[in-house]
Amino acid sequence: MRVLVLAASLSGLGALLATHNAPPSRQTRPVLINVTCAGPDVVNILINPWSRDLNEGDVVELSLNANANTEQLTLEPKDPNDWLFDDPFPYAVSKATPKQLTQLKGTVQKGHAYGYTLTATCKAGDGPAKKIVIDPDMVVH
Amino acid sequence: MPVTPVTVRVSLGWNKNRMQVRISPWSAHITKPGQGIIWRPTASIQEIKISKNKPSDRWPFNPAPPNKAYKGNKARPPKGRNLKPGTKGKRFPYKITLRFSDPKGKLRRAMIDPDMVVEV
Repeated sequence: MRVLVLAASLSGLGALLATHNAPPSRQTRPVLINVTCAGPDVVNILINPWSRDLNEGDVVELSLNANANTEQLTLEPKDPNDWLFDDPFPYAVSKATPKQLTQLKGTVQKGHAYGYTLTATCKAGDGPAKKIVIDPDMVVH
Repeated sequence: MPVTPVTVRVSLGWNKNRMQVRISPWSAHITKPGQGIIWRPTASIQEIKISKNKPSDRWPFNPAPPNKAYKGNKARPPKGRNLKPGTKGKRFPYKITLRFSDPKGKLRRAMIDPDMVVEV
């Protein structure tokens, strides 16, 4: 009887420890991008969110909106030596092919904003191609 | 009598996560001899810089960038003056670099590539 009680206690303790030591749940965090030429002189850029908050172990999914006036975006770190993913860059994102960044480095600095550049060329109808480069970021908490 | 420069209005606005950049006109046409260009940013732009896309690119004005004449803000807009001879009929792509704050106050940068056309 004592053996059974001890075994049950150890089992409960093990489950408790397992709960406390469990890594945070791995989630896919989206970054939705849209680039549209709203007129002959105008470019609209939507990045949702501009500053992507992450937890350790998260995956980032970069996607391009279906109505964008561009077929492909290119993203790369502002500073290659100050980047939070081991996934080789630059990252190409098209309407049909979102890009997942899965290899978060173990050495990331919490609270640090990791800047990246997003380059897109917006073209609608016969209008001129408009290239734009902007700099959103990602932060691990 | 000095020729009125072509004004290129540069504005940047936000609606939540959507940023709108307007360069008007996107193609600045120089239509009078001796005419220059003045780039007028809105107050939402903390700094504006005009530059060549590549250092080896041609430039229609003297001096060419990099030069302090091509860096400024709303109070001190950048200007291109002294149209060079031999530029007639040519298109000059260039780069505008903007520094501004996003709605959360974080300093951001955008680069965009309009052009100038010399018609005279």
